[in-house]
Amino acid sequence: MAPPEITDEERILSDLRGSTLLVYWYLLKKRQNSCGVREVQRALGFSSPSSACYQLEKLRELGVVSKDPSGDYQISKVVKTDVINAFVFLGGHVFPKHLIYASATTIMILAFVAWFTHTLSPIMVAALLPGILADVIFWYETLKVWRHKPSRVA
Amino acid sequence: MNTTKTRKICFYTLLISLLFLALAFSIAEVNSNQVQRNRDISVSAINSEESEYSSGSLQLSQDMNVWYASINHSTHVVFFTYYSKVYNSPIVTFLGQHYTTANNTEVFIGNTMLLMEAYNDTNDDGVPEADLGEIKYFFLVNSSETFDATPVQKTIIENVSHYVWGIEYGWVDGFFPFARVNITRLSLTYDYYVKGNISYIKTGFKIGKIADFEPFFVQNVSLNELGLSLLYGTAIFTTNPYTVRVNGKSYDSRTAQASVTSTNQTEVVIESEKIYEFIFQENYTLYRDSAAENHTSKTVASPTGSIPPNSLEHLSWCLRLFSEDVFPKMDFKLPAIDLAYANSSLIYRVCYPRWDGLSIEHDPTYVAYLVPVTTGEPGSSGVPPPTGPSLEMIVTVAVALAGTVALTLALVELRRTRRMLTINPLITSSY
Repeated sequence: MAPPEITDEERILSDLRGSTLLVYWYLLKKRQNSCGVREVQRALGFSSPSSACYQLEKLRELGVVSKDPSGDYQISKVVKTDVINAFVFLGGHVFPKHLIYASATTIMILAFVAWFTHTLSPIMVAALLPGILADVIFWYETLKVWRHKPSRVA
Repeated sequence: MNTTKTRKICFYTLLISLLFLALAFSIAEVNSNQVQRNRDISVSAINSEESEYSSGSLQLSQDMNVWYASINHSTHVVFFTYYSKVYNSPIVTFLGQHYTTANNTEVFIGNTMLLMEAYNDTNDDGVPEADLGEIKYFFLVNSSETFDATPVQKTIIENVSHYVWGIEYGWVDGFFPFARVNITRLSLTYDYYVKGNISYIKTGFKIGKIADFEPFFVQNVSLNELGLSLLYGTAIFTTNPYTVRVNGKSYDSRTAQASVTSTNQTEVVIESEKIYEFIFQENYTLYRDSAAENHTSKTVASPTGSIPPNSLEHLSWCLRLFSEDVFPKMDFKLPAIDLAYANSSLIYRVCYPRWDGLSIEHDPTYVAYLVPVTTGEPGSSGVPPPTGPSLEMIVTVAVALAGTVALTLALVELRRTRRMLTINPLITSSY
Protein backbone atom coordinates (compact mmCIF):
# COMPACT_ATOMS: atom_id res chain seq x y z
CA MET A 1 0.00 0.00 0.00
CA ALA A 2 1.31 3.47 -0.90
CA PRO A 3 2.29 5.75 2.01
CA PRO A 4 -0.25 8.49 2.77
CA GLU A 5 0.35 11.70 0.89
CA ILE A 6 1.84 14.50 2.98
CA THR A 7 -0.20 17.72 2.81
CA ASP A 8 1.40 21.17 2.45
CA GLU A 9 0.42 22.03 6.02
CA GLU A 10 2.09 18.91 7.39
CA ARG A 11 5.21 19.58 5.34
CA ILE A 12 5.38 23.14 6.67
CA LEU A 13 4.98 21.97 10.25
CA SER A 14 7.66 19.31 9.85
CA ASP A 15 10.13 21.67 8.17
CA LEU A 16 9.44 24.63 10.43
CA ARG A 17 11.98 23.88 13.15
CA GLY A 18 15.48 24.74 14.22
CA SER A 19 17.04 27.69 12.44
CA THR A 20 14.19 27.84 9.95
CA LEU A 21 11.76 28.37 12.80
CA LEU A 22 14.07 30.96 14.28
CA VAL A 23 14.07 33.01 11.06
CA TYR A 24 10.33 32.61 10.69
CA TRP A 25 9.98 33.75 14.32
CA TYR A 26 12.02 36.87 13.60
CA LEU A 27 9.88 37.71 10.57
CA LEU A 28 6.72 37.18 12.62
CA LYS A 29 7.95 39.76 15.10
CA LYS A 30 8.56 42.20 12.26
CA ARG A 31 5.19 41.22 10.77
CA GLN A 32 4.31 44.26 8.64
CA ASN A 33 7.88 45.22 7.83
CA SER A 34 10.00 43.36 5.33
CA CYS A 35 13.64 42.68 6.08
CA GLY A 36 16.73 41.83 4.15
CA VAL A 37 19.21 38.97 4.35
CA ARG A 38 21.90 40.93 6.18
CA GLU A 39 19.44 42.16 8.79
CA VAL A 40 18.40 38.58 9.52
CA GLN A 41 22.02 37.47 9.65
CA ARG A 42 22.98 40.19 12.14
CA ALA A 43 19.85 39.89 14.27
CA LEU A 44 20.03 36.13 14.65
CA GLY A 45 23.78 35.67 14.70
CA PHE A 46 24.22 33.61 11.52
CA SER A 47 27.87 33.11 10.60
CA SER A 48 27.35 34.37 7.03
CA PRO A 49 24.69 36.03 4.87
CA SER A 50 24.38 32.86 2.80
CA SER A 51 23.22 30.91 5.86
CA ALA A 52 20.47 33.45 6.48
CA CYS A 53 19.63 33.50 2.78
CA TYR A 54 19.34 29.69 2.77
CA GLN A 55 16.80 29.75 5.59
CA LEU A 56 14.82 32.59 4.01
CA GLU A 57 14.65 30.80 0.70
CA LYS A 58 13.57 27.64 2.48
CA LEU A 59 10.72 29.57 4.06
CA ARG A 60 9.81 31.03 0.68
CA GLU A 61 9.70 27.53 -0.81
CA LEU A 62 7.38 26.49 2.01
CA GLY A 63 5.10 29.35 0.95
CA VAL A 64 5.07 31.15 4.26
CA VAL A 65 7.33 34.03 3.21
CA SER A 66 7.31 36.18 0.08
CA LYS A 67 10.10 38.11 -1.55
CA ASP A 68 9.59 41.58 -2.90
CA PRO A 69 11.38 43.04 -5.99
CA SER A 70 13.97 44.72 -3.77
CA GLY A 71 15.03 41.36 -2.38
CA ASP A 72 13.51 41.79 1.06
CA TYR A 73 11.40 39.09 2.68
CA GLN A 74 8.02 39.39 4.37
CA ILE A 75 5.58 37.03 6.11
CA SER A 76 2.88 35.88 3.70
CA LYS A 77 1.28 33.16 5.79
CA VAL A 78 1.02 32.72 9.53
CA VAL A 79 1.44 29.10 10.54
CA LYS A 80 0.04 28.14 13.93
CA THR A 81 2.51 25.63 15.26
CA ASP A 82 2.50 24.58 18.92
CA VAL A 83 5.50 26.78 19.55
CA ILE A 84 4.03 29.88 17.93
CA ASN A 85 0.71 29.27 19.66
CA ALA A 86 2.48 29.44 23.00
CA PHE A 87 3.34 33.10 22.41
CA VAL A 88 1.50 36.30 21.70
CA PHE A 89 2.98 38.69 19.13
CA LEU A 90 2.05 42.27 19.84
CA GLY A 91 3.57 45.39 18.31
CA GLY A 92 7.00 43.92 17.75
CA HIS A 93 7.02 42.30 21.20
CA VAL A 94 6.58 38.66 22.07
CA PHE A 95 5.47 37.22 25.37
CA PRO A 96 4.20 33.84 26.49
CA LYS A 97 0.47 33.32 26.33
CA HIS A 98 0.63 32.03 29.89
CA LEU A 99 1.61 35.51 31.03
CA ILE A 100 -1.95 36.67 30.34
CA TYR A 101 -3.45 33.80 32.36
CA ALA A 102 -0.93 34.31 35.17
CA SER A 103 -1.57 38.05 35.36
CA ALA A 104 -5.34 37.64 35.30
CA THR A 105 -5.24 35.03 38.06
CA THR A 106 -2.86 37.13 40.16
CA ILE A 107 -5.09 40.21 39.80
CA MET A 108 -8.13 38.16 40.77
CA ILE A 109 -6.41 36.84 43.91
CA LEU A 110 -4.98 40.21 44.97
CA ALA A 111 -8.27 42.00 44.37
CA PHE A 112 -10.14 39.41 46.41
CA VAL A 113 -7.65 39.61 49.30
CA ALA A 114 -7.60 43.42 49.20
CA TRP A 115 -11.37 43.69 49.18
CA PHE A 116 -11.99 41.20 51.97
CA THR A 117 -8.79 41.77 53.91
CA HIS A 118 -10.71 42.55 57.09
CA THR A 119 -13.00 39.58 56.84
CA LEU A 120 -10.87 36.84 55.37
CA SER A 121 -12.15 33.54 56.74
CA PRO A 122 -10.81 29.97 56.32
CA ILE A 123 -13.59 29.26 53.82
CA MET A 124 -12.54 32.25 51.73
CA VAL A 125 -8.92 31.11 51.84
CA ALA A 126 -10.08 27.65 50.74
CA ALA A 127 -11.98 29.24 47.86
CA LEU A 128 -8.77 30.97 46.84
CA LEU A 129 -6.62 27.83 46.90
CA PRO A 130 -7.44 26.50 43.38
CA GLY A 131 -6.75 29.97 42.01
CA ILE A 132 -3.46 30.24 43.89
CA LEU A 133 -2.37 26.81 42.65
CA ALA A 134 -3.34 27.74 39.09
CA ASP A 135 -1.46 31.01 39.45
CA VAL A 136 1.72 29.24 40.56
CA ILE A 137 1.46 26.85 37.59
CA PHE A 138 0.85 29.70 35.14
CA TRP A 139 3.82 31.70 36.37
CA TYR A 140 6.00 28.60 36.27
CA GLU A 141 4.89 27.90 32.70
CA THR A 142 5.46 31.53 31.74
CA LEU A 143 9.03 31.43 32.99
CA LYS A 144 9.72 28.04 31.45
CA VAL A 145 8.39 29.03 28.01
CA TRP A 146 10.10 32.43 28.20
CA ARG A 147 13.46 30.85 28.97
CA HIS A 148 13.07 28.66 25.88
CA LYS A 149 12.04 31.51 23.63
CA PRO A 150 13.89 31.42 20.28
CA SER A 151 16.41 34.23 20.27
CA ARG A 152 19.69 33.68 18.45
CA VAL A 153 21.42 30.87 16.67
CA ALA A 154 23.54 29.02 19.21
CA MET B 1 -5.29 16.10 23.73
CA ASN B 2 -7.89 13.38 23.69
CA THR B 3 -11.16 13.46 25.60
CA THR B 4 -10.19 10.78 28.10
CA LYS B 5 -7.13 12.70 29.26
CA THR B 6 -9.11 15.92 29.58
CA ARG B 7 -11.73 14.12 31.65
CA LYS B 8 -9.04 12.69 33.90
CA ILE B 9 -7.51 16.12 34.44
CA CYS B 10 -10.88 17.65 35.25
CA PHE B 11 -11.64 14.83 37.66
CA TYR B 12 -8.33 15.21 39.49
CA THR B 13 -8.74 19.00 39.61
CA LEU B 14 -12.16 18.70 41.21
CA LEU B 15 -10.84 16.08 43.61
CA ILE B 16 -7.97 18.36 44.69
CA SER B 17 -10.36 21.30 45.13
CA LEU B 18 -12.69 19.21 47.28
CA LEU B 19 -9.76 18.02 49.39
CA PHE B 20 -8.65 21.63 49.93
CA LEU B 21 -12.16 22.64 50.93
CA ALA B 22 -12.45 19.70 53.34
CA LEU B 23 -9.07 20.61 54.85
CA ALA B 24 -10.08 24.24 55.31
CA PHE B 25 -13.39 23.28 56.94
CA SER B 26 -11.54 20.93 59.30
CA ILE B 27 -9.09 23.65 60.32
CA ALA B 28 -11.95 26.11 60.87
CA GLU B 29 -13.84 23.55 62.96
CA VAL B 30 -10.80 22.69 65.12
CA ASN B 31 -10.12 26.39 65.64
CA SER B 32 -13.73 27.00 66.58
CA ASN B 33 -13.76 24.11 69.06
CA GLN B 34 -10.52 25.32 70.61
CA VAL B 35 -11.97 28.77 71.19
CA GLN B 36 -15.18 27.21 72.47
CA ARG B 37 -13.23 25.30 75.11
CA ASN B 38 -11.53 28.50 76.19
CA ARG B 39 -14.68 30.47 76.63
CA ASP B 40 -16.45 31.23 79.87
CA ILE B 41 -13.42 30.68 82.04
CA SER B 42 -12.66 33.09 84.81
CA VAL B 43 -9.54 34.95 83.92
CA SER B 44 -7.59 37.79 85.43
CA ALA B 45 -7.62 39.83 82.26
CA ILE B 46 -9.38 39.78 78.95
CA ASN B 47 -7.15 37.91 76.55
CA SER B 48 -8.74 39.77 73.76
CA GLU B 49 -5.91 39.38 71.30
CA GLU B 50 -5.52 35.66 71.68
CA SER B 51 -8.92 34.34 70.77
CA GLU B 52 -11.54 35.01 68.18
CA TYR B 53 -14.13 35.29 70.90
CA SER B 54 -14.35 34.68 74.61
CA SER B 55 -16.46 35.46 77.61
CA GLY B 56 -15.94 35.08 81.30
CA SER B 57 -15.58 36.75 84.63
CA LEU B 58 -13.09 39.09 86.19
CA GLN B 59 -13.03 39.52 89.94
CA LEU B 60 -12.87 43.16 90.97
CA SER B 61 -13.19 42.64 94.71
CA GLN B 62 -14.46 40.02 97.11
CA ASP B 63 -18.02 41.04 96.41
CA MET B 64 -17.95 42.37 92.90
CA ASN B 65 -17.22 40.80 89.54
CA VAL B 66 -17.35 41.81 85.95
CA TRP B 67 -18.79 39.58 83.29
CA TYR B 68 -17.45 40.27 79.82
CA ALA B 69 -17.82 39.18 76.23
CA SER B 70 -15.01 39.87 73.79
CA ILE B 71 -14.99 39.31 70.04
CA ASN B 72 -12.06 39.79 67.71
CA HIS B 73 -13.40 39.54 64.22
CA SER B 74 -12.54 42.43 61.91
CA THR B 75 -13.17 44.79 64.82
CA HIS B 76 -12.77 44.31 68.55
CA VAL B 77 -16.01 44.35 70.48
CA VAL B 78 -16.13 44.22 74.25
CA PHE B 79 -19.24 44.14 76.36
CA PHE B 80 -19.12 44.06 80.11
CA THR B 81 -21.33 44.40 83.11
CA TYR B 82 -20.95 44.23 86.87
CA TYR B 83 -22.44 41.42 88.89
CA SER B 84 -22.18 40.15 92.42
CA LYS B 85 -22.64 36.75 93.96
CA VAL B 86 -23.01 38.25 97.43
CA TYR B 87 -25.33 41.18 96.86
CA ASN B 88 -27.85 42.07 94.22
CA SER B 89 -26.10 42.77 90.95
CA PRO B 90 -25.89 46.41 89.93
CA ILE B 91 -27.35 47.33 86.56
CA VAL B 92 -24.39 48.84 84.75
CA THR B 93 -23.47 47.70 81.28
CA PHE B 94 -21.10 48.96 78.65
CA LEU B 95 -20.65 48.08 75.00
CA GLY B 96 -17.49 49.24 73.23
CA GLN B 97 -16.08 48.71 69.77
CA HIS B 98 -12.59 49.44 68.55
CA TYR B 99 -11.39 49.23 64.96
CA THR B 100 -9.10 50.79 62.43
CA THR B 101 -10.64 51.99 59.21
CA ALA B 102 -9.14 51.38 55.77
CA ASN B 103 -7.59 54.87 55.86
CA ASN B 104 -5.85 54.08 59.16
CA THR B 105 -8.11 56.02 61.46
CA GLU B 106 -8.45 54.37 64.82
CA VAL B 107 -11.95 54.49 66.16
CA PHE B 108 -13.36 53.67 69.54
CA ILE B 109 -17.07 54.03 70.17
CA GLY B 110 -18.85 52.90 73.28
CA ASN B 111 -22.25 53.46 74.73
CA THR B 112 -24.10 52.80 77.91
CA MET B 113 -27.62 53.27 79.11
CA LEU B 114 -27.57 56.07 81.63
CA LEU B 115 -31.11 56.44 82.72
CA MET B 116 -34.75 55.55 82.13
CA GLU B 117 -37.35 58.26 82.09
CA ALA B 118 -41.11 58.24 82.16
CA TYR B 119 -42.65 61.05 80.16
CA ASN B 120 -46.02 62.47 79.46
CA ASP B 121 -46.22 63.28 75.80
CA THR B 122 -48.41 66.36 76.10
CA ASN B 123 -47.80 67.68 72.58
CA ASP B 124 -48.16 64.23 71.05
CA ASP B 125 -44.89 64.30 69.15
CA GLY B 126 -43.75 61.03 70.69
CA VAL B 127 -40.63 62.37 72.38
CA PRO B 128 -39.91 63.87 75.83
CA GLU B 129 -39.20 67.58 75.91
CA ALA B 130 -37.51 68.70 79.08
CA ASP B 131 -38.31 72.35 78.51
CA LEU B 132 -42.03 71.56 78.33
CA GLY B 133 -41.87 69.61 81.54
CA GLU B 134 -42.79 66.38 79.80
CA ILE B 135 -40.25 64.28 81.67
CA LYS B 136 -42.30 63.32 84.68
CA TYR B 137 -39.96 60.95 86.41
CA PHE B 138 -36.55 59.52 85.93
CA PHE B 139 -36.08 55.98 86.90
CA LEU B 140 -32.91 54.55 88.37
CA VAL B 141 -32.55 50.86 87.72
CA ASN B 142 -30.58 49.85 90.72
CA SER B 143 -29.89 46.16 91.06
CA SER B 144 -31.30 42.74 90.35
CA GLU B 145 -31.83 39.63 92.38
CA THR B 146 -30.64 37.30 89.67
CA PHE B 147 -28.09 37.68 86.93
CA ASP B 148 -27.68 35.26 84.04
CA ALA B 149 -25.21 35.57 81.24
CA THR B 150 -25.24 33.74 77.93
CA PRO B 151 -21.63 33.33 76.81
CA VAL B 152 -20.62 34.22 73.29
CA GLN B 153 -21.72 31.61 70.80
CA LYS B 154 -20.62 31.55 67.22
CA THR B 155 -22.99 30.46 64.52
CA ILE B 156 -22.62 30.73 60.78
CA ILE B 157 -25.67 31.91 58.90
CA GLU B 158 -25.44 32.17 55.14
CA ASN B 159 -21.66 32.06 55.32
CA VAL B 160 -21.57 34.95 57.78
CA SER B 161 -20.22 34.42 61.30
CA HIS B 162 -22.62 35.63 63.97
CA TYR B 163 -21.42 36.08 67.54
CA VAL B 164 -24.33 36.11 69.92
CA TRP B 165 -24.36 36.77 73.65
CA GLY B 166 -26.62 38.27 76.23
CA ILE B 167 -27.44 38.95 79.83
CA GLU B 168 -30.65 38.87 81.78
CA TYR B 169 -31.44 40.50 85.08
CA GLY B 170 -34.33 39.01 86.99
CA TRP B 171 -36.53 40.96 89.39
CA VAL B 172 -34.90 44.32 89.03
CA ASP B 173 -35.47 46.92 91.69
CA GLY B 174 -35.36 50.56 90.88
CA PHE B 175 -36.35 53.92 92.16
CA PHE B 176 -38.49 56.70 90.93
CA PRO B 177 -37.99 59.81 93.04
CA PHE B 178 -41.31 59.02 94.70
CA ALA B 179 -41.55 55.26 94.65
CA ARG B 180 -39.77 51.97 94.75
CA VAL B 181 -40.53 49.66 91.88
CA ASN B 182 -39.76 46.17 90.72
CA ILE B 183 -39.46 45.10 87.14
CA THR B 184 -39.91 41.46 86.29
CA ARG B 185 -36.84 41.31 84.10
CA LEU B 186 -34.43 43.27 81.98
CA SER B 187 -32.52 41.50 79.23
CA LEU B 188 -30.00 42.59 76.66
CA THR B 189 -28.95 40.42 73.73
CA TYR B 190 -26.32 41.15 71.11
CA ASP B 191 -25.62 39.76 67.69
CA TYR B 192 -22.34 40.88 66.15
CA TYR B 193 -21.57 40.11 62.52
CA VAL B 194 -19.61 41.48 59.60
CA LYS B 195 -20.82 41.70 56.02
CA GLY B 196 -18.30 42.99 53.52
CA ASN B 197 -16.63 45.96 55.12
CA ILE B 198 -19.45 46.78 57.48
CA SER B 199 -19.91 45.40 60.97
CA TYR B 200 -23.23 45.26 62.74
CA ILE B 201 -24.10 44.93 66.39
CA LYS B 202 -27.76 44.17 66.54
CA THR B 203 -29.04 44.59 70.04
CA GLY B 204 -32.18 43.23 71.60
CA PHE B 205 -33.62 45.16 74.51
CA LYS B 206 -36.38 43.63 76.57
CA ILE B 207 -37.80 45.20 79.67
CA GLY B 208 -40.45 43.42 81.69
CA LYS B 209 -43.47 45.10 83.12
CA ILE B 210 -43.42 46.99 86.38
CA ALA B 211 -44.68 44.38 88.80
CA ASP B 212 -44.42 46.14 92.10
CA PHE B 213 -45.01 49.80 92.72
CA GLU B 214 -44.60 51.26 96.21
CA PRO B 215 -45.10 55.03 96.39
CA PHE B 216 -43.26 56.65 99.28
CA PHE B 217 -45.34 59.73 99.84
CA VAL B 218 -47.70 60.46 96.99
CA GLN B 219 -50.47 57.95 96.51
CA ASN B 220 -52.11 59.07 93.27
CA VAL B 221 -49.29 58.21 90.96
CA SER B 222 -49.83 56.15 87.85
CA LEU B 223 -47.68 55.15 84.94
CA ASN B 224 -50.67 54.87 82.66
CA GLU B 225 -50.48 57.01 79.55
CA LEU B 226 -46.78 57.60 80.12
CA GLY B 227 -44.06 56.85 77.67
CA LEU B 228 -40.63 55.43 78.41
CA SER B 229 -37.37 56.83 77.18
CA LEU B 230 -33.95 55.26 77.53
CA LEU B 231 -31.14 57.74 77.83
CA TYR B 232 -27.81 56.68 76.37
CA GLY B 233 -24.41 58.30 76.58
CA THR B 234 -21.64 57.61 74.12
CA ALA B 235 -17.87 57.71 74.36
CA ILE B 236 -16.27 58.45 71.00
CA PHE B 237 -12.54 58.63 70.39
CA THR B 238 -10.83 58.76 67.03
CA THR B 239 -7.28 59.48 65.91
CA ASN B 240 -8.62 62.06 63.45
CA PRO B 241 -11.16 64.73 64.41
CA TYR B 242 -14.71 63.45 64.12
CA THR B 243 -18.10 65.04 63.90
CA VAL B 244 -21.41 63.64 65.04
CA ARG B 245 -24.07 64.27 62.45
CA VAL B 246 -27.75 64.15 63.15
CA ASN B 247 -29.97 64.28 60.07
CA GLY B 248 -26.94 65.43 58.08
CA LYS B 249 -26.05 68.35 60.37
CA SER B 250 -23.26 68.59 62.92
CA TYR B 251 -24.40 67.96 66.45
CA ASP B 252 -22.81 68.11 69.88
CA SER B 253 -24.82 67.41 73.00
CA ARG B 254 -22.51 69.64 75.02
CA THR B 255 -23.37 72.73 72.98
CA ALA B 256 -26.77 71.94 71.47
CA GLN B 257 -29.52 74.43 72.26
CA ALA B 258 -32.70 72.65 71.14
CA SER B 259 -34.23 70.53 73.90
CA VAL B 260 -34.68 67.63 71.47
CA THR B 261 -33.59 66.95 67.91
CA SER B 262 -35.58 64.15 66.34
CA THR B 263 -33.23 61.97 64.41
CA ASN B 264 -33.71 59.71 61.45
CA GLN B 265 -30.01 59.41 60.82
CA THR B 266 -27.29 59.54 63.46
CA GLU B 267 -23.75 58.99 62.33
CA VAL B 268 -20.14 59.72 63.13
CA VAL B 269 -18.14 61.16 60.24
CA ILE B 270 -14.54 62.07 59.62
CA GLU B 271 -13.97 64.50 56.77
CA SER B 272 -17.38 63.75 55.23
CA GLU B 273 -16.82 60.01 55.42
CA LYS B 274 -19.11 57.97 57.56
CA ILE B 275 -17.38 55.64 60.00
CA TYR B 276 -20.22 54.74 62.32
CA GLU B 277 -23.97 54.80 62.34
CA PHE B 278 -26.73 54.29 64.86
CA ILE B 279 -29.78 52.61 63.40
CA PHE B 280 -32.87 52.50 65.53
CA GLN B 281 -35.54 50.23 64.17
CA GLU B 282 -38.77 52.13 64.04
CA ASN B 283 -41.07 49.55 65.55
CA TYR B 284 -41.09 48.15 69.02
CA THR B 285 -43.33 45.61 70.61
CA LEU B 286 -45.44 46.33 73.67
CA TYR B 287 -46.93 43.39 75.55
CA ARG B 288 -50.28 44.12 77.11
CA ASP B 289 -51.74 41.09 78.90
CA SER B 290 -49.68 38.79 76.66
CA ALA B 291 -51.04 40.47 73.55
CA ALA B 292 -48.32 41.99 71.40
CA GLU B 293 -48.83 45.49 70.06
CA ASN B 294 -46.53 47.14 67.56
CA HIS B 295 -45.80 50.81 68.01
CA THR B 296 -43.40 53.26 66.46
CA SER B 297 -40.40 54.30 68.48
CA LYS B 298 -38.69 57.66 68.17
CA THR B 299 -35.10 58.67 68.69
CA VAL B 300 -33.87 62.09 69.67
CA ALA B 301 -30.47 63.59 70.20
CA SER B 302 -30.46 65.52 73.43
CA PRO B 303 -28.38 68.30 74.93
CA THR B 304 -26.57 67.67 78.18
CA GLY B 305 -28.79 70.23 79.91
CA SER B 306 -31.92 68.18 79.26
CA ILE B 307 -30.94 65.52 81.76
CA PRO B 308 -32.58 65.64 85.18
CA PRO B 309 -29.97 67.08 87.53
CA ASN B 310 -30.92 64.77 90.39
CA SER B 311 -29.86 61.76 88.40
CA LEU B 312 -26.18 62.68 88.46
CA GLU B 313 -25.34 60.38 91.34
CA HIS B 314 -26.12 57.35 89.28
CA LEU B 315 -23.45 58.23 86.79
CA SER B 316 -20.67 58.19 89.31
CA TRP B 317 -20.06 54.58 88.33
CA CYS B 318 -16.66 54.49 86.85
CA LEU B 319 -15.96 51.74 84.40
CA ARG B 320 -12.60 50.88 85.78
CA LEU B 321 -11.88 48.22 83.21
CA PHE B 322 -11.25 50.85 80.64
CA SER B 323 -7.59 50.41 80.07
CA GLU B 324 -5.13 48.88 77.73
CA ASP B 325 -6.05 45.51 79.21
CA VAL B 326 -9.46 45.74 77.66
CA PHE B 327 -8.48 47.10 74.30
CA PRO B 328 -4.78 46.22 74.00
CA LYS B 329 -4.77 46.79 70.27
CA MET B 330 -5.27 50.49 70.71
CA ASP B 331 -2.28 52.55 69.72
CA PHE B 332 -3.60 55.76 71.16
CA LYS B 333 -4.12 56.34 74.83
CA LEU B 334 -7.66 56.74 75.93
CA PRO B 335 -8.26 59.48 78.40
CA ALA B 336 -9.87 58.37 81.64
CA ILE B 337 -13.43 57.61 80.78
CA ASP B 338 -16.12 57.80 83.38
CA LEU B 339 -18.97 58.11 80.89
CA ALA B 340 -20.14 61.22 82.67
CA TYR B 341 -22.63 62.60 80.23
CA ALA B 342 -21.10 66.06 80.56
CA ASN B 343 -18.25 64.72 78.43
CA SER B 344 -20.41 62.93 75.90
CA SER B 345 -20.69 64.52 72.46
CA LEU B 346 -23.74 62.44 71.71
CA ILE B 347 -26.50 61.80 74.18
CA TYR B 348 -29.59 60.27 72.73
CA ARG B 349 -32.91 59.01 73.89
CA VAL B 350 -34.72 56.04 72.45
CA CYS B 351 -38.36 56.79 73.10
CA TYR B 352 -41.33 54.48 73.42
CA PRO B 353 -44.39 56.76 73.40
CA ARG B 354 -46.72 53.95 74.53
CA TRP B 355 -45.47 52.20 77.62
CA ASP B 356 -47.86 52.29 80.59
CA GLY B 357 -45.32 50.38 82.67
CA LEU B 358 -45.64 47.32 80.46
CA SER B 359 -43.13 45.00 78.84
CA ILE B 360 -41.26 46.28 75.77
CA GLU B 361 -38.99 44.70 73.16
CA HIS B 362 -36.84 46.69 70.77
CA ASP B 363 -33.76 46.01 68.63
CA PRO B 364 -31.53 48.89 67.55
CA THR B 365 -28.34 48.27 65.54
CA TYR B 366 -24.89 49.81 65.70
CA VAL B 367 -23.01 49.88 62.42
CA ALA B 368 -19.26 50.36 61.98
CA TYR B 369 -17.77 51.09 58.57
CA LEU B 370 -14.33 49.53 58.18
CA VAL B 371 -14.07 51.27 54.85
CA PRO B 372 -15.53 54.75 55.39
CA VAL B 373 -18.26 55.74 52.97
CA THR B 374 -19.05 59.20 51.73
CA THR B 375 -22.18 60.41 53.44
CA GLY B 376 -25.16 60.68 51.15
CA GLU B 377 -23.74 58.10 48.76
CA PRO B 378 -26.42 55.83 47.34
CA GLY B 379 -26.38 52.63 49.33
CA SER B 380 -24.31 54.16 52.11
CA SER B 381 -26.91 53.46 54.74
CA GLY B 382 -25.94 50.78 57.18
CA VAL B 383 -29.40 49.26 57.20
CA PRO B 384 -28.71 45.54 57.20
CA PRO B 385 -29.01 44.19 53.69
CA PRO B 386 -31.98 42.01 52.85
CA THR B 387 -31.57 38.34 53.49
CA GLY B 388 -30.26 36.22 50.64
CA PRO B 389 -26.79 35.37 49.41
CA SER B 390 -24.42 38.09 50.57
CA LEU B 391 -22.04 39.79 48.17
CA GLU B 392 -19.21 38.20 50.12
CA MET B 393 -20.62 34.71 49.53
CA ILE B 394 -21.32 35.35 45.84
CA VAL B 395 -17.80 36.68 45.27
CA THR B 396 -16.28 33.76 47.21
CA VAL B 397 -18.17 31.19 45.14
CA ALA B 398 -17.26 33.05 41.94
CA VAL B 399 -13.59 33.12 42.92
CA ALA B 400 -13.67 29.41 43.81
CA LEU B 401 -15.24 28.56 40.43
CA ALA B 402 -12.86 30.82 38.52
CA GLY B 403 -9.94 29.31 40.42
CA THR B 404 -11.08 25.76 39.62
CA VAL B 405 -11.45 26.59 35.91
CA ALA B 406 -8.02 28.28 35.97
CA LEU B 407 -6.50 25.26 37.67
CA THR B 408 -7.99 22.92 35.06
CA LEU B 409 -6.64 25.14 32.29
CA ALA B 410 -3.25 25.34 34.03
CA LEU B 411 -2.99 21.55 34.23
CA VAL B 412 -3.98 21.16 30.58
CA GLU B 413 -1.44 23.82 29.59
CA LEU B 414 1.21 22.20 31.78
CA ARG B 415 0.93 18.96 29.84
CA ARG B 416 0.74 20.72 26.51
CA THR B 417 3.85 22.81 27.17
CA ARG B 418 5.80 19.80 28.38
CA ARG B 419 4.87 17.88 25.22
CA MET B 420 5.68 20.87 23.03
CA LEU B 421 9.11 21.40 24.57
CA THR B 422 9.89 17.68 24.27
CA ILE B 423 8.87 17.32 20.63
CA ASN B 424 9.94 20.68 19.32
CA PRO B 425 12.62 22.35 21.40
CA LEU B 426 12.30 26.05 20.77
CA ILE B 427 15.90 26.92 20.89
CA THR B 428 17.98 25.70 18.08
CA SER B 429 21.54 24.57 18.16
CA SER B 430 21.79 23.64 14.51
CA TYR B 431 23.74 25.51 11.92
